Amino acid sequence: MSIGLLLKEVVILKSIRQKLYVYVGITAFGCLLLVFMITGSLTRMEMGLVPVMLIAVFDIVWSGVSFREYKRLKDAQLIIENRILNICPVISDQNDRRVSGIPAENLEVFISCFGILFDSRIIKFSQEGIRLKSVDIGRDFITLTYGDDRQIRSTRLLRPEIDSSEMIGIVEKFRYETGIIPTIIA
Amino acid sequence: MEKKETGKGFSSIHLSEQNIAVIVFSLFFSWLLSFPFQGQIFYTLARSVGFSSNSLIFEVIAAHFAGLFLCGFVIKTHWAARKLMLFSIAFCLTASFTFFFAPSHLWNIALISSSFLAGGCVAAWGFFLKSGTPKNERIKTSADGLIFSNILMILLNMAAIHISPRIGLGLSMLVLGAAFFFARRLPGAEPEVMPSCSKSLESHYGIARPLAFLCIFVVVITINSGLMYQVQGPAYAHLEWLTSWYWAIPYVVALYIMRNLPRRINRTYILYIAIAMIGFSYISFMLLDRSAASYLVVNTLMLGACGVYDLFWWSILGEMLDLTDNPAQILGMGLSANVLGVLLGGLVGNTIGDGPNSSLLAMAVVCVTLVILPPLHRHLTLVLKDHAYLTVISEMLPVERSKALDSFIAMGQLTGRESEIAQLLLKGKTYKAIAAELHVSENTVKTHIKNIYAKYKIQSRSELINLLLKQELSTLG
Repeated sequence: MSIGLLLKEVVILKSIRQKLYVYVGITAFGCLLLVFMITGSLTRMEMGLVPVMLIAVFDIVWSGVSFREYKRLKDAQLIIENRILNICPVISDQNDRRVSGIPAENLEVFISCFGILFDSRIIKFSQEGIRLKSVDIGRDFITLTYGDDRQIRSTRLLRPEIDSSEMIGIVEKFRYETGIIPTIIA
Repeated sequence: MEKKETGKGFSSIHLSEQNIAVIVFSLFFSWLLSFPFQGQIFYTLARSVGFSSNSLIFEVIAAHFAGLFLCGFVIKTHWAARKLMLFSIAFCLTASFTFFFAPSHLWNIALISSSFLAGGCVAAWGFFLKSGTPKNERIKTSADGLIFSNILMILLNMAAIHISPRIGLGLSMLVLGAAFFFARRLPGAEPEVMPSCSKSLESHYGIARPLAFLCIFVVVITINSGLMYQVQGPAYAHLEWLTSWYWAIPYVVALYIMRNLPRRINRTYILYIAIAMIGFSYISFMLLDRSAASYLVVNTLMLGACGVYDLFWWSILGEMLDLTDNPAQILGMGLSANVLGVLLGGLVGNTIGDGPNSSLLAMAVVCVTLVILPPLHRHLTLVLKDHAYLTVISEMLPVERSKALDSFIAMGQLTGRESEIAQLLLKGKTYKAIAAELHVSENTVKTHIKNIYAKYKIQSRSELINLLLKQELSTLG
């Protein structure tokens, strides 16, 4: 594993972690405020019910947001720990439209048996009922098709060329980890 | 395991190791219950000489807890266990002489040190429970020990209360002497190790988790016992003529019933009945007066429930002994949880004191324990069921096991990685062990296992094993 790659992993996880700390901090602040309002109202200060309810709702919402961010961090760690392939791609969705807003040269995409991680965005599969259905590897792209019983989606990642020995290793990893044998498209 | 004939016995009476173990335990435990461990002999003795025992009681219980907990870390062999038991009994006998004299600091030292050693002695007895009794009879051995010790305790207490505290003390020392006499007949040699009782089982199955859950369960339940001593007990102090003998009767009866219950009866229902009995005991305590009739109701409910639960965890601890080379550690830790619960309950009860809301607060504590008990019990059952199933697999021949695993895994259409993990899971490895063996993270293992369960449409390891065994049966059929 190159140092550069390791640094990129650290950077991605760090950004997700930082977001998590911010959300947890906001939640904790809200909880303290709520406790202060409740205890204050039991002693001398009279607090209306509405502000207390608003703060309570605020706390519940931010707890949910914090928990979701925590789950994202766990998913990102899972993808990085079980990486099969990482590439610097140009991203297009299933309609071949390029996804805007992301400078391709700064992007590192991690593909694993549990999903795809690019920037701090995550596509999950082989978890929570979402199955990886097929993997197609072309000369300059890789397409992953995944979904559950209700919906199937594809993500195509344009990638630089990979040499044949590395390709054999990638195919074998996909087969072993996911049970899917990638289709090599000439 | 075959019973060993070791005792010389009186005249033509031959005592097996199992019988000797029960006798030694009954005699020693009766002394423990009647004297240092909140025993009536000590209370009446202290009262008769104007000695304040309130704070000392908690120190004694804490010392006993420490002895139970630490024994397994020091005593690791049969020989050492026997030596400790003999030394402890002899020490306790010597220390008891102190109480014939006027109260002094020696009383504190003697009581605390003998409680500590008594804890070690009880834990060390685990070696003889394991070696002297076959696995499926340990519930009966444990029940016999508890029944006889409590009956003896009642007699010793009555002697102390109705005749004289010093007579009670003297009789308890005679009982200790008898315990020493029989303890000398316990075997000192290490028993032959059965093939299934190997160290690999312990490391494989991670006995720590089921033991930890059992200990939490025990602590939570026995908080009620501790509360009972501090809240209910003093309320009926004026009925000493009744409490001196009836106190442990429901406990003995419950033990006897549970001991002789047919295997087909579902004991889980009885545990829930016992939970309800504890609750009703406190409700009755709050609603009824302090007459003899109300004491009979309150005490029967509470001590009956205690009997049910005590035998429940004693029997589980007895089963767990086969999964370790150090029975003193398992029995010691399990029973220390019991003592810890009594200590915590006692401290709570003592803190509440005799205020007007003492019963209400006690009831609140009971309600909290009753709410968390069912989920705790469910989890404990799952964890123990896991263990029981894993034992079945470990008893298969290796070739048989390998064949069964291969065909089972093929049936689930698992990926290569999932197959690898499923094999290790079915061998009883913990998640951490699997992760270490495959050089992946524990989170990765957990995710793969969730996927495996989803493919088989199940929720737990025990269900997975159950499926495997069903498939194996249908193949053989």
